[in-house]
Amino acid sequence: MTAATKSKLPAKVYLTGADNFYLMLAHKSKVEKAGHNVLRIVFQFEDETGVKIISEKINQSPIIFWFLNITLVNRTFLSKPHWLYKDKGVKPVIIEHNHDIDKQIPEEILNREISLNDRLIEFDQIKYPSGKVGFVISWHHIIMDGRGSGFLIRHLMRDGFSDSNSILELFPVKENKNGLIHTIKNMYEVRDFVQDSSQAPIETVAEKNTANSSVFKLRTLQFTNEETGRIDANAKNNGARFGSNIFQLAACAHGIHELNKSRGKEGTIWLPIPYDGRKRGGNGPIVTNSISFLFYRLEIKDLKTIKTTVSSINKQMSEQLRMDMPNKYNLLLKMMRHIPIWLYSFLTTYSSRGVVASFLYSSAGEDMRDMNALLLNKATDILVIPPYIYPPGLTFSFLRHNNCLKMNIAYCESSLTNQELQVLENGIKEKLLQENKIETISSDVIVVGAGSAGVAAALAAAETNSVILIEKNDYPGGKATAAEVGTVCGLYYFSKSNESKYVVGGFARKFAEDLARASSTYPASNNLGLHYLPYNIDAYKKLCVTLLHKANIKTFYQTNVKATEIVGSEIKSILVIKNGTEYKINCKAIVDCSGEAKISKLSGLPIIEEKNYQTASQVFTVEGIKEMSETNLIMLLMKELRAAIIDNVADKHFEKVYVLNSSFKNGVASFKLNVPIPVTYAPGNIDELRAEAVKRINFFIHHFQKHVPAFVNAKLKSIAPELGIRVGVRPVGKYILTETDVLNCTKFDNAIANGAWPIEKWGENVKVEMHYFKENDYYQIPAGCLQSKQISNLFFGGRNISATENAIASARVMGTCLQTGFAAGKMAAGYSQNSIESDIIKSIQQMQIFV
Amino acid sequence: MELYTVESDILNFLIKNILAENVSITASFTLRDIGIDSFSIVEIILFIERKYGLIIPDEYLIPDHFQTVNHIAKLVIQLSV
Repeated sequence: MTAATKSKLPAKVYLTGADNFYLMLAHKSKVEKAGHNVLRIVFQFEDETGVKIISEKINQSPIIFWFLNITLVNRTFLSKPHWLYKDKGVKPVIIEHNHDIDKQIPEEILNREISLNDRLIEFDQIKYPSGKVGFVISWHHIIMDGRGSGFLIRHLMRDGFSDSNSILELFPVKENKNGLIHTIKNMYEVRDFVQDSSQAPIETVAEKNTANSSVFKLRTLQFTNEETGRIDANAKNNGARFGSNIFQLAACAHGIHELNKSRGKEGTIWLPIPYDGRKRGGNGPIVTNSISFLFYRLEIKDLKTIKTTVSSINKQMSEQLRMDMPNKYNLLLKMMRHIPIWLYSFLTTYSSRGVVASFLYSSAGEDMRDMNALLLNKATDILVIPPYIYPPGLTFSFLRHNNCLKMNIAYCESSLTNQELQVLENGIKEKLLQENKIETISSDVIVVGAGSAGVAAALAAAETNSVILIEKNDYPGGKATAAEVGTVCGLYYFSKSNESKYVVGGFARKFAEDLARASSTYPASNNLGLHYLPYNIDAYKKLCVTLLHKANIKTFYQTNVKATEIVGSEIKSILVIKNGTEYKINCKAIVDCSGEAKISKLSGLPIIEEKNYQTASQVFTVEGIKEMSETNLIMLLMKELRAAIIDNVADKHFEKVYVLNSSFKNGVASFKLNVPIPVTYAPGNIDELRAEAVKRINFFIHHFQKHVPAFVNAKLKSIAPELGIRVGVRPVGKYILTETDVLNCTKFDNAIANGAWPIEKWGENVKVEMHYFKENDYYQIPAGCLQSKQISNLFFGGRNISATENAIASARVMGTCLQTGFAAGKMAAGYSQNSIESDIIKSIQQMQIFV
Repeated sequence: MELYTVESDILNFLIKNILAENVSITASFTLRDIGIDSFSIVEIILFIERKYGLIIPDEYLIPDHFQTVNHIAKLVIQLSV
């Protein structure tokens, strides 16, 4: 650590608010001889190398140095409590201990208090006779919460930590000064909040008059990998959202409920909800406590089953967010900073004034994977030991290490007897590990994805077999409806003639004709020779729903596929999840029309991937545009955008904004813009694309309102629910369709579909790249593109047939998807009936490719 | 302003900025036939608006009105009166 780094350390840091609570507890524990304010993180290593790595970092760390050289300046009449840093030269000391039993932590460490007037952070090394070594970092809870500890370790272990700028990220941001009126307004809000959230006192585990002990007890429940998996599955099945946290919390509530019953004190339970005030995704600050507690109330009726408990918590969570409770709570904490400690103590604990939970709960450091990676995977075990904080005198904490869940129960000796601990433990375990009953259903054919291809596949298979259709949205149509594509391409010959001549027959043609009738639209063409069918989004949705209903197809909406079960060379079943409930669906054959090779990915089968996919588009609808012809609107749009680009008002990507063909009616038009961010499917990529799209739409509307008279009264009417992602990963089939096949108009003996759309590629370039083949001709797609190379009962339809990047840039259009979907459905049905493959292909050819 | 001058201004702009080197053109050629797409027509519109300091009314922005250089030049004269 250099002198320069030291000088960058902040001299004065105010407490954030939640930590005043711990200040109060420190005060109480002194007076009442109860309470415990030390948080610990324990690492177990096979040998000394891990300890060497971590102690070296500790000795070099400016932040540790800062912790050791700060003094708490308690509040005076006018000033808020704060930490004052002065380089007193106090350095970290690592105390060595010996202990007989591996992994056990000596009582002398567990029961050692940390005084506010002394070192706030301590280090212990424990040597076991086996040569294994433990390492404990302990600190007063006031300087850092559980999640802060995770950040601390990450900062300690990462290079660049000595970078003086990064140090400042670890401290709370400066608070804005508000005016008097603002403060008064806040006071009213806080008063309302306290009135809303405060209720009559409730039973806590340790009661005020019973605790007179500060002996710290810790019980750790270790779950195996298999048990952890079951806990996660149970969490989902019982409706827990955002991971397993709420389910774990609900299980703790049931444990407490059992305990209360055994004490004859059955009643309402208060659940503490850790609310993290830190910026989402941000890594700081670690200093002082950012986590505070909001509370949920569980009445006996909510504790009937674990499912009712989870559902009650979910409901209360939404309600609290709706009422903006977290922000109001923050406001309360901010105000708490300005009042004397005795008043704070009075307000937070005096009966019915504030709330005290039945127990405390922490999910600090839920996942220790990356923390261990920083320790070069040397740690065989990591444990976070929470303080038990009195009252309520009991804290649960959960963490995961190597995919195994671990649960700590920290309590003060006087709050639980050994028998009571057993009751509590059993109550929790029973709920966490309850047997998971999955409903099993069967169907000849499963179709995944109810887009154009999926609907066609389901209808094709349903002519002879039972079918279950799985869809992630709550309506059918896929990109046709969710991304509001607006035109069906690939139905007609590529031809400069004005006449739109069908290149497809059978189902695809019938569907297009029905759609045109329902939408009151006609085929249209442009001067390049491209013909397409504009349609109405609602008509598309309605047509699909009607057809699926007539064919008696069981459709699971809002359902995602979670896993596949492969036996030999066949998929025997899939596991799906709908509204938190899992179903196992047995099948004879399966058609993947997910658009992203979902089944192949879940089954670990080979897929065709690219680094970047074609750029995505976003459709949006504007109302209140002055009446004019659509060609007029198109040219007006082009002129205005081009002028804005030349004048550097808009970036060049605004050249790719289009009016959806035939969408302009009664002053309402739909537009499509290209989103100039690479599509990678990496986590967060879709959200990023969507945010960029919305930003661009807003710019577009404002610009046109301001500069184009015809748009003076224009308003955004809607944004299509999904981005138009054109291409995703594809599976590897028996045949991979190529660009040469497309451009040479190759015909195949085992063809099942005709393709007539050129290769249309949307990339980084400003203009779309088009590659045409001969006019009045078409290429064919062979059956092999629809059959998995490895799995005999897996078929593909739509955007994820087996094709190269350039070939799918043509075959992805809806007219082609309707055919490949239909063919895949027929092939899957034929497979499930043991029909001869060549016969099935022949019948598909008769139906749809001999036009 | 002479019709001829405006025509040659537009033709020069086309030759310099839009057309391929060996394409010849006169004021009466149908622009679409020599590969001038709507993007290029927008470029021509912005060029004449800025050169002659006039604005083509929004309702006039229809491809049919921009079929030949002669059409466009006439429009410019009409708007400058």
